Amino acid sequence: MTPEPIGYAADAVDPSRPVVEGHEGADYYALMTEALHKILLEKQILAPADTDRVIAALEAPNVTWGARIVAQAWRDPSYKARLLADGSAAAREMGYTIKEAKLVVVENTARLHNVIVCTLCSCYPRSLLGQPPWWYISKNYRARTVREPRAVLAEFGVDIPAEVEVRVHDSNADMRYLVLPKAPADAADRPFEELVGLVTRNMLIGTAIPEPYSGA
Amino acid sequence: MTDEAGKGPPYRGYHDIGGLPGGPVACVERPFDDWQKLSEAIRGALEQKNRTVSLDEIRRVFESFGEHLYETLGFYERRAEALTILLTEKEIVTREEVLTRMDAIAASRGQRVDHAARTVEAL
Repeated sequence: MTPEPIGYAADAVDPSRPVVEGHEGADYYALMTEALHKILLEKQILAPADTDRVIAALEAPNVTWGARIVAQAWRDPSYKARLLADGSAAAREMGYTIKEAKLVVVENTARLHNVIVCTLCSCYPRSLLGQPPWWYISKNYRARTVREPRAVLAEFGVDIPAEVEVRVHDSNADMRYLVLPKAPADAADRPFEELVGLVTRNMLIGTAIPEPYSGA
Repeated sequence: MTDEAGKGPPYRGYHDIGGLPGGPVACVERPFDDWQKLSEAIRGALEQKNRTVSLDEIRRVFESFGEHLYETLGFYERRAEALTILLTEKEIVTREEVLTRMDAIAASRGQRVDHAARTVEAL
């Protein structure tokens, strides 16, 4: 079996052709990964503990970490100001180190809704929230969110009124985004852990909202 | 969609899909499978060991390994393919030894690998 030829295809995209949402090869690549791992262990390029350590680091982050940052910002205006000024530093204050890139936090208001995508790859704040959801890495989400964000949001059951601006943030190798959802009206008076419980992963991406904008 | 001179194709790669037409977003959840985790961990471990590979290199490979593979494979499958290609390029493994090992593992489980179709099936 010869390898696939590798050639740079800089002009391969036909801008009128819909994306192809392929998800083939899972069993094949599960097996390839297993084979590759065994070979790397035999060659002593990797030790078993090496991948165990990375897997532990992959499994540690979770949505609650992002939710705690949001809850803190909802309760503490000075923390919120620091979070919007420097997301990475404010996350570190809460004990979370954003390893892969600079964290940029974007705030939803009564007039502005933010949503996050990565059109080129699937950049996501993994060291804070864990792995991205299935739909975030799908080509339909990557392709369409920058073109018709309101239509995509409607598919998630989120209707953004016409008077509310929708702003799309395209992630890249150097910047990862996190949405600061609009706080419930009584947020400052509610217990921290209760606020944490209100925040879902999709709210942190912008495909869900705590309360409809029309009710604001 | 033309260049500054008003003609020619848009010069961008097949991975640069922002703004293209697409179907409905499948708003479903899928687990982070063990093999996907292992694949990411192999890359991460090799990156931590003297930067044997980097994520930028993996991206370079799957952003140039051909539109057909990019379109047909899933996200983690593309990354797994790119990892093997990259380690082959760096002469850390050969593709032949990886494919041979896949055949051996599959055979021990009563399975057969079709490398052209990229499938694994029961014998």
